[in-house]
Amino acid sequence: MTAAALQVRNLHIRLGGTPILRGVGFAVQPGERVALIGPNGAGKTTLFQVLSGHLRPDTGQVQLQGTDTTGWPAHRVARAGLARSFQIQQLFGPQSVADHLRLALLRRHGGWWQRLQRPGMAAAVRDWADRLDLNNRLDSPAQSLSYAEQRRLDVGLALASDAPVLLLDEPTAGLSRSETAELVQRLRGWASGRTLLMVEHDMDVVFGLADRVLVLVDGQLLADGSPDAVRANPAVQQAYLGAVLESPL
Amino acid sequence: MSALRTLVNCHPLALLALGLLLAPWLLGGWVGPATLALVAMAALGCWSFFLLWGQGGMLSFGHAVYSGMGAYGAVWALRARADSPLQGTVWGTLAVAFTPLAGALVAAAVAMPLGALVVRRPGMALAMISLALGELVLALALMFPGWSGGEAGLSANRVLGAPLLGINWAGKWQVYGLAAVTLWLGVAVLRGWMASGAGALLRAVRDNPQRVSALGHNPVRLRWAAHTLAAALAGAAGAVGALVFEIVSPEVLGAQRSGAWMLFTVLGGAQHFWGPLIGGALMVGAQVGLSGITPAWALYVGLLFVLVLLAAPGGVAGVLAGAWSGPGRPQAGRWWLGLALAASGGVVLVEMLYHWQARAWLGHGLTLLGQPWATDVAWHWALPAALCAAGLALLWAQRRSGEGA
Repeated sequence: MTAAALQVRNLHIRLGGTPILRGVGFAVQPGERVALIGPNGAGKTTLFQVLSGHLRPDTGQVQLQGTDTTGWPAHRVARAGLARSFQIQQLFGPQSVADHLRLALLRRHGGWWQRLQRPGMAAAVRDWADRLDLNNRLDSPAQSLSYAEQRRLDVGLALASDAPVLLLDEPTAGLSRSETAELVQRLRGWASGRTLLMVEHDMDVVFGLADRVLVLVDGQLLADGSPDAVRANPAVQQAYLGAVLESPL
Repeated sequence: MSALRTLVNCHPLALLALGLLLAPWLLGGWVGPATLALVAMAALGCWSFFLLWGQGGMLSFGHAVYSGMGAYGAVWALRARADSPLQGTVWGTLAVAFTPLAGALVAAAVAMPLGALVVRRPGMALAMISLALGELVLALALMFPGWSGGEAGLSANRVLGAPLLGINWAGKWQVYGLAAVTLWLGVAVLRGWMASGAGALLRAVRDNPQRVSALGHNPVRLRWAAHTLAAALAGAAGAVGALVFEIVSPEVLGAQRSGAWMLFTVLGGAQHFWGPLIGGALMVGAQVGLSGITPAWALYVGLLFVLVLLAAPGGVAGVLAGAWSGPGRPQAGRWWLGLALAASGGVVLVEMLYHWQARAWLGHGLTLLGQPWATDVAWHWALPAALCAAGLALLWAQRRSGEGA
């Protein structure tokens, strides 16, 4: 049996004395597309921060493709094959779209000691700009892009690495209905053959992309199953209605 | 015009080489070779601070540790040569050419452990820790005069070898040549870094370290590497200074010198590639030129710094680049007129005030802007005050109309 793409066991973390994750455990198989849902404050983004190495868990274990990455710094986790995007887009403000793509492609096309302006790199940058539909914005500073373009670039930075495991934190947050539909369409192609774990509030996106849904409530997994089964689960409905009136169900 | 633009933006190393070659002929009539060598030294120091702050976002208040240790490295190397079999040979002369390298290596060696303490968190923590380390190194230099020479400093002689191709480093133009080559090589290394993956990653770490780590690169190690390279460049600059003066004392390590690196890099323009050259020229102009003209020179530098921070955060280079590319702001003429009025009136007032408080031994009369002034004549005070007020009013009006537009 091959190792799980992502194996999480009994994660606990407290931030500022408050328990945020309270014994989270699950596994994601290679090639699986999993959505992580839950009310605000459930700990979804904290879980992502732990998985990507930006936060260190108090106890518990994270395995990435069979390797124990618990407590590794983020850059080591990324090198081990995990790429992520961010809930609030994390870009390099004044730098151009081309600069961003070069940075994302740097580990695949040469190294830090080499000149950036190389033929292979330039072709890859154009290729990704085409895929992200940013080819006419190559020289624009990221901070001058529209919100939807910034979201695409943020997701694109994660995708442009050839990491087999992708974590996307609300990739469609703040996008209009048509923009969301378009991004889902693109994501389906980009994520094919890779393992995808994403936080998502929009149930259309969840149903359009995910094979499986994890429901996180108050730092614990409440449900784990197919989208239909999770939607029919009374405990999940209870949690959403009991939490905030922002139920996506 | 467009050819010049291409040269400035795309071939900076060629332009720099050309400028350094032509400087003795273009400027030799006004400024001496030692001053030009100091400009090259100051520019290299500002370029190293540009790498640290403009590219890496690390605001260090202790950069003089590295320029100062470079100066010490140079003096140690010269003194070691004086006691060695190289003395009196062409090899001894040749060895002097590598003095800036010695300075760079000493500074980098000091920066490697100190950098590990400094670069962990950018921003306020970095500024505070670098300031503290700077004072620590200065204190060590004063406590252990064995390596620093104590308050008196250490002197050295750069002319101890036999002439090689007519060069024995006695002539000031020979030192300028070495300074120019050192500056060019240092800037070439800097450009190489900036054009490489590491340079792009450093700018990315400045803008968003969390994202850089998510892309699989260690932000702390990148900062550390840039900090070490900046220290090496500052060390080479310090070594050039030591070659010019042939003496070094602990004050070159101190906070005042650190502040000067920061201040003049920002004045020149920390976000523009040519800013450090302008900053270096301003630094030498202020410390060598202006200080010979007026005792209030530091006040003018301070005022200029405040003005730049408020009105032109891009520094002098930013203003020049803005004026060069595209049309300036409307009514730029009035803006400059206001600035000129305010500045000339202000300068006359400052000088008269200084003269007045020292009237016991200076008397009442002085000459400024080709005009005789007397501190005991009322309208000699009223005129510059009115000029200054008119200039400030004009600037204020421009500011208001600029906001309305």
